[in-house]
Amino acid sequence: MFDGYGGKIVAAVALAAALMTTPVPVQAQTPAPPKACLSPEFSQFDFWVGRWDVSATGKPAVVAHSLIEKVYGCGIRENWAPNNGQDGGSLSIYVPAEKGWRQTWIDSGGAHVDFKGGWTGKAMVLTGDWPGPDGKPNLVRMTYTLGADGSVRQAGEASADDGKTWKPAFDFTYRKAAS
Amino acid sequence: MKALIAALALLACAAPAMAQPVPADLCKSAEHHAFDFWIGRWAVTETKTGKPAGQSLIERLYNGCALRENWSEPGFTGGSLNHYDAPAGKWRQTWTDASGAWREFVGGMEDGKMVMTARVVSPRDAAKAVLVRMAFTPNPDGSVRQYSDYSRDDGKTWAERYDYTYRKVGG
Repeated sequence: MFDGYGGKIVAAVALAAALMTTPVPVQAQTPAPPKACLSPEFSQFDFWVGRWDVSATGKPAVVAHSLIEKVYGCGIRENWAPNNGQDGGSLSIYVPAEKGWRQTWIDSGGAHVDFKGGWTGKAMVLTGDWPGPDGKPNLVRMTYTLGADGSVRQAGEASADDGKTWKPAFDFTYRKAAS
Repeated sequence: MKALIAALALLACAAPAMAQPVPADLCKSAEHHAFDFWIGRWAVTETKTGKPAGQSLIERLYNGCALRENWSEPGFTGGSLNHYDAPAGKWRQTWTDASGAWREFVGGMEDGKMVMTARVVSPRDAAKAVLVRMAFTPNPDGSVRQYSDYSRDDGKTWAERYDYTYRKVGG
C-alpha cells in the first residue's frame, strides 16, 4: 500500500498513519492524529490503576508497595516495590490485532517475562513463560480480580507441564495506599 | 547462616523470580551495560535541521537490569522497557505509546551502534509486515543519534523514518 509514494517523508507519514508507528517526523504536516485507544477494551485493566499497599492474601502485613499508572492514554505501567528490594515493573496494553492483552515484565532479579492474555469478563488473566533457575519452562498464569471493596487480588499459578496442571505460586491483595 | 536465613526468607516470597537470592554480579556484565550511553534526560532535535523533536528521560531501573524510556513531544507520548536478554545474547525493547502501538524490538550492538528491529504486522493485512529499525549511536561529544528506517520488502531496501539527535539537559 506504500507503492507510488516518492518522498521519504511522505512515505514515513504514510507508514505512521497506516501502522500508527511513531515518533512521527515533526516536519511532516500531519493532521492531528485521531484519538487512539478509545475502544472499551483499552479500559479493561483500569481497575488495577492506583497507588497500592500489597499484602499476601489473607494476611495483614504489607509486603510491597506498587504504583500502577495509566500511561500515554493507552497503556498501563507497573512499578513494583517490595520490602525485600527486588523491584520490577511492567508495561501492559490491549493489542487490537490480537484481541488480547500483552504485558512485559522486567525485574531486578534479571527476569524478563512476556505475558499474553485478556479479560475473561470477570478477571484479567495473563500467562507467560517464567523459567526458573534451571532454565526449564515454567508457565505462570496471573489472575487479577476486582473485589467488592475496591481491592484487587493478583493470584499466580505455575505449571511445569505446559499448562496441564497448575499449582498456586503467589497470591497478593492490593489495597489503596493511604495518601 | 545469615545468608541461609535470607535465602529462606526469599523462598517464602511468592513470585518465582524471588525464589533465589540475586547473585551479586547479576546484570553487571559489559553486555548489560552496552546501552548505558542512552541513560539521561535529553532534549531531542532533528539531526538534519536542528528543529526540536521532543524530550526524553531514559532511566536505569531494577538493579541495572532495565532501561526505561519516557518520550514526549507535542501531542504525543510513549515509552519503553529495554533489557539485555542474556540467554539469547540480544537486546530487547518493548515500546508502547499514545497511538496504542505495541512494538517488540530485538537486536544488539553492531559496529558501535545499538541496532534493534521490530516486525510490525499490518493491521489491515496480516500477511504483510513492515520491518522497523532503530540505530542508536553514541557520539564523541556525549550526544546520541537515533536513526530509524523501515523496510516493506523484508530488509532488502530501507527508507528513513526519522533522524534524531539527543543532547543532555540539566545536570
